[in-house]
Amino acid sequence: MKRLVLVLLSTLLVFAGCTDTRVARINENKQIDLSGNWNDTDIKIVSDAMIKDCLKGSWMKKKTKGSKPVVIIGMVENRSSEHIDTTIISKKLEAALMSSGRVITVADFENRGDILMEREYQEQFASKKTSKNMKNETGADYMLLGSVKTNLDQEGNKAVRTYYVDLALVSVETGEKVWMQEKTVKKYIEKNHFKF
Amino acid sequence: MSQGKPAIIVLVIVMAVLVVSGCASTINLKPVEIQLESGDYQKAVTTLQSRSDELQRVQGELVLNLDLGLAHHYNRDFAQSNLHLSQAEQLIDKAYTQSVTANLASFIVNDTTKEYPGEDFEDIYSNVFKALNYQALGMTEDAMVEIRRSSEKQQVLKNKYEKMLSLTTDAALSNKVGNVQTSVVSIEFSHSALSDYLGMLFARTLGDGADKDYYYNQVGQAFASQSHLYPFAVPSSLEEELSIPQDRARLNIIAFCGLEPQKKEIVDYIPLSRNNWAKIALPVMQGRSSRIAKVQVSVGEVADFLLEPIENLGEVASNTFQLRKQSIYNKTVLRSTFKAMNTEILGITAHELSKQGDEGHTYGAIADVLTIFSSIFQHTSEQADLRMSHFFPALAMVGGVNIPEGVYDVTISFKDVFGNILGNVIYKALPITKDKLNLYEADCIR
Repeated sequence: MKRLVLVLLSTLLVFAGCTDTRVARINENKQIDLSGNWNDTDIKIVSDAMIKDCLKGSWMKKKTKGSKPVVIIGMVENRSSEHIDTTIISKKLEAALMSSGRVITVADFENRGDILMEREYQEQFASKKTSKNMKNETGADYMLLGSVKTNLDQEGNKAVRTYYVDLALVSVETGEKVWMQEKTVKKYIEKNHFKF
Repeated sequence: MSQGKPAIIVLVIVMAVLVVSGCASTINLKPVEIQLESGDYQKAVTTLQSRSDELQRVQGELVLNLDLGLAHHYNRDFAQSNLHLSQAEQLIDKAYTQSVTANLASFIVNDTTKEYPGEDFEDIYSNVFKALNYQALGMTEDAMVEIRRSSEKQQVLKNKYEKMLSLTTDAALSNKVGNVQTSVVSIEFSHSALSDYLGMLFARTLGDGADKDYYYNQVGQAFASQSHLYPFAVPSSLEEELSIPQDRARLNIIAFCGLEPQKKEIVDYIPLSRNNWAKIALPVMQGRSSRIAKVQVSVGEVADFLLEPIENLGEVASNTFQLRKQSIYNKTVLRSTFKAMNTEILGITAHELSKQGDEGHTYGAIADVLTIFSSIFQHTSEQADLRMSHFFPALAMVGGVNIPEGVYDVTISFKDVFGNILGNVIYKALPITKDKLNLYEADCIR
């Protein structure tokens, strides 16, 4: 009897010490949709399509001042109804462009200030032999611009949420668009009315 | 008798559990209200936080997050406010999926057994206040996201209201109700001028001309199509928002006054027999009066202007609640009548059994006890669901002025009908710059 009480007590204590949080490592390509909102799967669908199209574009063959076209990542506006970090898509595209070896990318607006500060610092404190010169940055030929928009059609517990992502490479000199792609992701979301 | 005892105990326990599970949903937050009224927002937040366990127990997690979200907003802790309002938004979304057991219990006990799903206006205005929070944090793009989200919700609500309107009309026609319109005229809210106004300002700041024009037109549309909810004129400053002279900076002020209406319980009785009445406890929206009659803005020595109303949030709250009122009434009458009938049947049974000798007398006594418990259960469990947020403002007022770029002291004065100042919000050395949204908020919860 005593043993039984002990077993019951220890079981109770074990359960009392349990937490609700469970973590498991999963494959990064596994598709998991929880809320129906923009997630990693959508980013992958959009980025893959954009990268594929951008890399095969004829814009790379256009004559530029340097040996390879130079791209700067501009603003991809979030014009949707969700808080979407659009830099994930643009950074993925930038990484793919760099990895292709056919394009040079330069620091974007966010990093420019830091680089300038570092050059100013080097001018004062680094040795002449190693300090970097001012006015020697590589000028970009093209700027990547774009936007993410959403549309929602909802009736009761059913909804269709559509994301429109457009990206374009715009010539800094002429303003011409040398490449453009639009990718649509359409989701059907159905919520349960009842749970037990 | 010995066989009857366990049955009685079980029944009494079941009833007691049901009564306790459907306990009252009222909470007295007057101290917080007084602190908000006196402009002591930090104290209001602290008081609310100290009572958060009680508030969560009585009114649920959603109400707690809405109240904390608003209190933090008034206290200008915009990040904390967003945290709570986002949590509230998620809970509203989650509450769409209702628990079957809680729903069944709501047909036996009362509506408080169900999770509080939030009122429609709470859902829409959560985004509006999140938008103001993001703007105050200098994140205009995110502020615009919240306005788009609010617009989406308004569209969904519009569809829902139109569907309900058509169902009500059909039902009224099939029941040959004479004046169909009288039963549906109150369902008027379809879009918020306040949300559209902010959308226009944010779109202008982001340089999105198409969106700016769209939201500008929507403000006019809101006033034109919902005259019942907007009995005042379109703010005269609206036109100026579209074309700011190149050599001028624009200062925009938004002010919130008063507090949203609250749900109160009204009780009525339907007689079933001489001694048995079905208790009908219903929630009704009751406005809280505000003493503020006008809001005046002084910008240094260069400008002086009055703010104009753009949205009566309290009226929107009452209007959108009308939609649920009928279904609450129907369900309450059904449930209460069922409970009263149960008591009635038990009473008759007790009376009949007591006439049938010794054994019948015993069972009659048991039935008598059950009748008493059933009657107590009926009266104690039948309570109106009074859960709702407490601190959304009642009225939003806006205005703006084009002034030379510079640094100004801005005073926003809240006055009563006699011109007495009830509260001042002073911004010292405010930099007003061109090509930027200079939007500042002033609150006076009186």
